[in-house]
Amino acid sequence: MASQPTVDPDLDQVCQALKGMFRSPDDCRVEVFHSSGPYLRAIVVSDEFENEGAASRQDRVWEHLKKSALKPDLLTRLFGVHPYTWKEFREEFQET
Amino acid sequence: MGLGSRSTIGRQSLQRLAEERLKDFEVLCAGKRYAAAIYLGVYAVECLLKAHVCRALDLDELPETYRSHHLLTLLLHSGLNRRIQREPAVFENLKKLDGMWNPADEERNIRYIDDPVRYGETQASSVRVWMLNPKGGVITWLRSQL
Repeated sequence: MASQPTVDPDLDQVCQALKGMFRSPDDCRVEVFHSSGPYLRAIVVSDEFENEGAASRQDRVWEHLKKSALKPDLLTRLFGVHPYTWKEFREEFQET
Repeated sequence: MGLGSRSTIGRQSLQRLAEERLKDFEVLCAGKRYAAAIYLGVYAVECLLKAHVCRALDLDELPETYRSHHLLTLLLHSGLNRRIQREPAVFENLKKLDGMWNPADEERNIRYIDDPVRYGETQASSVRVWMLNPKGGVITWLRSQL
Protein backbone atom coordinates (compact mmCIF):
# COMPACT_ATOMS: atom_id res chain seq x y z
CA MET A 1 0.00 0.00 0.00
CA ALA A 2 1.39 3.36 -0.95
CA SER A 3 2.18 5.57 2.02
CA GLN A 4 0.35 8.87 2.33
CA PRO A 5 2.42 12.03 2.64
CA THR A 6 2.48 13.22 6.24
CA VAL A 7 0.85 16.60 6.80
CA ASP A 8 2.15 18.51 9.81
CA PRO A 9 -1.06 19.97 11.32
CA ASP A 10 0.80 23.04 12.62
CA LEU A 11 2.23 23.84 9.22
CA ASP A 12 -1.15 23.24 7.62
CA GLN A 13 -2.94 25.59 10.04
CA VAL A 14 -0.47 28.39 9.35
CA CYS A 15 -0.75 27.69 5.62
CA GLN A 16 -4.56 27.91 5.71
CA ALA A 17 -4.45 31.10 7.79
CA LEU A 18 -2.10 32.74 5.29
CA LYS A 19 -4.16 31.61 2.31
CA GLY A 20 -7.18 33.25 3.95
CA MET A 21 -5.74 36.70 3.34
CA PHE A 22 -6.17 36.50 -0.43
CA ARG A 23 -9.20 37.22 -2.58
CA SER A 24 -8.11 34.43 -4.93
CA PRO A 25 -6.53 31.68 -2.79
CA ASP A 26 -6.21 29.45 -5.86
CA ASP A 27 -3.77 31.92 -7.42
CA CYS A 28 -1.42 32.01 -4.46
CA ARG A 29 1.28 29.68 -3.18
CA VAL A 30 2.05 29.33 0.51
CA GLU A 31 4.97 27.28 1.82
CA VAL A 32 5.41 26.98 5.57
CA PHE A 33 8.57 25.38 6.88
CA HIS A 34 10.47 24.78 10.09
CA SER A 35 13.12 27.28 11.12
CA SER A 36 15.41 27.32 14.19
CA GLY A 37 14.06 25.39 17.19
CA PRO A 38 10.26 25.46 17.39
CA TYR A 39 9.95 28.35 14.97
CA LEU A 40 8.31 28.41 11.56
CA ARG A 41 8.79 30.54 8.48
CA ALA A 42 6.63 31.04 5.42
CA ILE A 43 6.96 32.03 1.80
CA VAL A 44 3.79 33.58 0.38
CA VAL A 45 3.43 34.16 -3.35
CA SER A 46 0.57 36.13 -4.86
CA ASP A 47 0.08 38.84 -7.45
CA GLU A 48 -2.11 40.60 -4.89
CA PHE A 49 1.22 42.01 -3.58
CA GLU A 50 1.76 43.77 -6.92
CA ASN A 51 2.68 47.48 -6.52
CA GLU A 52 2.79 47.08 -2.77
CA GLY A 53 5.95 47.87 -0.83
CA ALA A 54 7.79 45.45 1.42
CA ALA A 55 6.67 47.17 4.63
CA SER A 56 3.03 47.35 3.61
CA ARG A 57 3.14 43.65 2.76
CA GLN A 58 4.47 42.84 6.21
CA ASP A 59 1.82 45.03 7.88
CA ARG A 60 -0.94 43.36 5.86
CA VAL A 61 0.29 39.83 6.55
CA TRP A 62 0.58 40.34 10.31
CA GLU A 63 -2.67 42.29 10.63
CA HIS A 64 -4.43 39.45 8.87
CA LEU A 65 -2.77 36.78 11.01
CA LYS A 66 -3.68 38.58 14.24
CA LYS A 67 -7.35 38.63 13.18
CA SER A 68 -7.30 35.05 11.91
CA ALA A 69 -8.28 31.98 13.90
CA LEU A 70 -4.64 30.95 14.18
CA LYS A 71 -3.86 29.78 17.70
CA PRO A 72 -1.71 32.25 19.69
CA ASP A 73 1.09 29.73 20.19
CA LEU A 74 1.33 29.18 16.44
CA LEU A 75 1.34 32.91 15.85
CA THR A 76 4.22 33.18 18.32
CA ARG A 77 6.12 30.39 16.59
CA LEU A 78 5.70 31.94 13.16
CA PHE A 79 8.80 34.05 12.65
CA GLY A 80 9.49 35.61 9.31
CA VAL A 81 6.94 35.72 6.50
CA HIS A 82 8.39 36.41 3.08
CA PRO A 83 5.84 37.78 0.59
CA TYR A 84 6.55 37.75 -3.17
CA THR A 85 4.66 38.41 -6.37
CA TRP A 86 4.91 35.57 -8.88
CA LYS A 87 7.40 37.58 -10.97
CA GLU A 88 9.62 38.28 -7.96
CA PHE A 89 9.38 34.69 -6.83
CA ARG A 90 10.46 33.36 -10.23
CA GLU A 91 13.32 35.87 -10.39
CA GLU A 92 14.58 35.10 -6.90
CA PHE A 93 14.14 31.38 -7.02
CA GLN A 94 14.92 31.06 -10.73
CA GLU A 95 11.91 28.85 -11.14
CA THR A 96 10.89 28.29 -14.75
CA MET B 1 39.84 34.42 22.75
CA GLY B 2 36.66 32.45 23.29
CA LEU B 3 34.95 29.32 22.04
CA GLY B 4 37.91 28.27 19.93
CA SER B 5 37.05 30.78 17.22
CA ARG B 6 38.50 34.09 16.14
CA SER B 7 36.85 36.99 17.98
CA THR B 8 35.43 39.74 15.85
CA ILE B 9 33.92 42.79 17.51
CA GLY B 10 33.20 43.87 21.06
CA ARG B 11 29.88 44.49 22.79
CA GLN B 12 30.51 48.20 23.30
CA SER B 13 31.55 48.55 19.68
CA LEU B 14 28.39 46.79 18.55
CA GLN B 15 26.26 49.21 20.58
CA ARG B 16 28.14 52.19 19.13
CA LEU B 17 27.89 50.71 15.64
CA ALA B 18 24.13 50.37 16.04
CA GLU B 19 23.77 54.02 17.04
CA GLU B 20 25.99 55.14 14.14
CA ARG B 21 24.00 53.10 11.62
CA LEU B 22 20.80 54.63 13.00
CA LYS B 23 22.20 58.10 12.30
CA ASP B 24 23.00 56.88 8.78
CA PHE B 25 19.41 55.66 8.48
CA GLU B 26 18.12 59.18 9.18
CA VAL B 27 20.65 60.87 6.88
CA LEU B 28 19.86 58.50 4.02
CA CYS B 29 16.11 58.95 4.53
CA ALA B 30 16.59 62.73 4.39
CA GLY B 31 18.55 62.23 1.16
CA LYS B 32 15.75 60.01 -0.21
CA ARG B 33 18.09 56.99 -0.40
CA TYR B 34 15.48 54.76 1.10
CA ALA B 35 16.71 51.28 0.16
CA ALA B 36 20.13 51.97 1.69
CA ALA B 37 18.47 53.60 4.70
CA ILE B 38 16.36 50.51 5.34
CA TYR B 39 19.41 48.31 4.90
CA LEU B 40 21.37 50.23 7.53
CA GLY B 41 18.40 50.63 9.86
CA VAL B 42 17.79 46.91 10.08
CA TYR B 43 21.54 46.39 10.32
CA ALA B 44 21.41 48.53 13.47
CA VAL B 45 18.87 46.07 14.90
CA GLU B 46 21.22 43.22 14.02
CA CYS B 47 24.11 44.98 15.81
CA LEU B 48 22.03 45.53 18.96
CA LEU B 49 20.95 41.89 19.00
CA LYS B 50 24.61 40.89 18.69
CA ALA B 51 25.46 43.17 21.63
CA HIS B 52 22.78 41.31 23.59
CA VAL B 53 24.34 37.97 22.58
CA CYS B 54 27.64 39.18 24.08
CA ARG B 55 25.83 40.24 27.24
CA ALA B 56 23.94 36.94 27.58
CA LEU B 57 27.11 34.90 27.07
CA ASP B 58 29.18 37.21 29.27
CA LEU B 59 31.69 37.81 26.49
CA ASP B 60 33.57 40.99 25.72
CA GLU B 61 33.67 40.14 22.04
CA LEU B 62 31.30 38.48 19.63
CA PRO B 63 32.62 35.08 18.54
CA GLU B 64 32.72 34.39 14.83
CA THR B 65 30.11 31.67 15.43
CA TYR B 66 27.53 34.42 15.81
CA ARG B 67 28.37 36.26 12.61
CA SER B 68 24.80 35.74 11.41
CA HIS B 69 22.29 38.06 9.78
CA HIS B 70 19.47 35.87 11.01
CA LEU B 71 17.51 37.99 13.50
CA LEU B 72 15.70 34.96 14.92
CA THR B 73 18.94 33.08 15.56
CA LEU B 74 20.42 36.15 17.23
CA LEU B 75 17.27 36.59 19.32
CA LEU B 76 17.46 32.97 20.51
CA HIS B 77 21.10 33.39 21.55
CA SER B 78 20.47 36.78 23.15
CA GLY B 79 18.47 35.29 26.02
CA LEU B 80 15.60 37.66 25.25
CA ASN B 81 13.31 35.14 23.59
CA ARG B 82 10.83 34.74 26.44
CA ARG B 83 10.97 38.40 27.43
CA ILE B 84 10.15 39.64 23.93
CA GLN B 85 7.13 37.37 23.78
CA ARG B 86 5.69 39.29 26.74
CA GLU B 87 5.89 42.38 24.51
CA PRO B 88 3.71 41.34 21.54
CA ALA B 89 4.09 44.65 19.68
CA VAL B 90 7.88 44.49 19.87
CA PHE B 91 7.92 40.83 18.82
CA GLU B 92 5.61 41.52 15.89
CA ASN B 93 7.76 44.42 14.73
CA LEU B 94 10.89 42.28 14.93
CA LYS B 95 9.16 39.68 12.77
CA LYS B 96 8.25 42.35 10.23
CA LEU B 97 11.84 43.59 10.11
CA ASP B 98 13.05 40.02 9.73
CA GLY B 99 10.56 39.43 6.92
CA MET B 100 12.14 42.32 4.99
CA TRP B 101 15.70 41.55 5.98
CA ASN B 102 16.28 37.84 5.73
CA PRO B 103 16.20 35.60 2.72
CA ALA B 104 13.46 33.03 2.49
CA ASP B 105 16.18 30.91 0.99
CA GLU B 106 19.69 31.38 2.37
CA GLU B 107 21.18 31.51 -1.12
CA ARG B 108 18.87 34.21 -2.44
CA ASN B 109 19.14 37.22 -0.28
CA ILE B 110 16.33 39.78 -0.30
CA ARG B 111 18.73 42.35 1.19
CA TYR B 112 20.42 42.72 -2.19
CA ILE B 113 17.27 43.68 -4.07
CA ASP B 114 17.02 47.34 -5.03
CA ASP B 115 13.43 48.04 -5.97
CA PRO B 116 12.04 51.56 -5.38
CA VAL B 117 8.49 50.25 -5.09
CA ARG B 118 9.34 47.66 -2.47
CA TYR B 119 11.85 49.86 -0.63
CA GLY B 120 10.70 53.47 -0.91
CA GLU B 121 9.72 56.34 1.39
CA THR B 122 6.63 54.59 2.76
CA GLN B 123 8.62 51.50 3.65
CA ALA B 124 11.34 53.57 5.30
CA SER B 125 8.70 55.34 7.41
CA SER B 126 7.28 51.99 8.48
CA VAL B 127 10.74 50.69 9.32
CA ARG B 128 11.33 53.77 11.48
CA VAL B 129 8.11 53.06 13.41
CA TRP B 130 8.97 49.36 13.80
CA MET B 131 12.43 50.24 15.10
CA LEU B 132 11.99 53.44 17.07
CA ASN B 133 8.40 53.86 18.19
CA PRO B 134 8.39 54.62 21.95
CA LYS B 135 5.95 51.72 22.36
CA GLY B 136 6.72 48.58 20.38
CA GLY B 137 9.86 49.84 18.66
CA VAL B 138 12.44 47.05 18.50
CA ILE B 139 15.45 49.30 19.02
CA THR B 140 13.65 51.24 21.76
CA TRP B 141 13.04 47.95 23.55
CA LEU B 142 16.49 46.44 22.90
CA ARG B 143 18.12 49.60 24.28
CA SER B 144 16.02 49.32 27.43
CA GLN B 145 17.19 45.75 27.98
CA LEU B 146 20.92 46.41 27.78
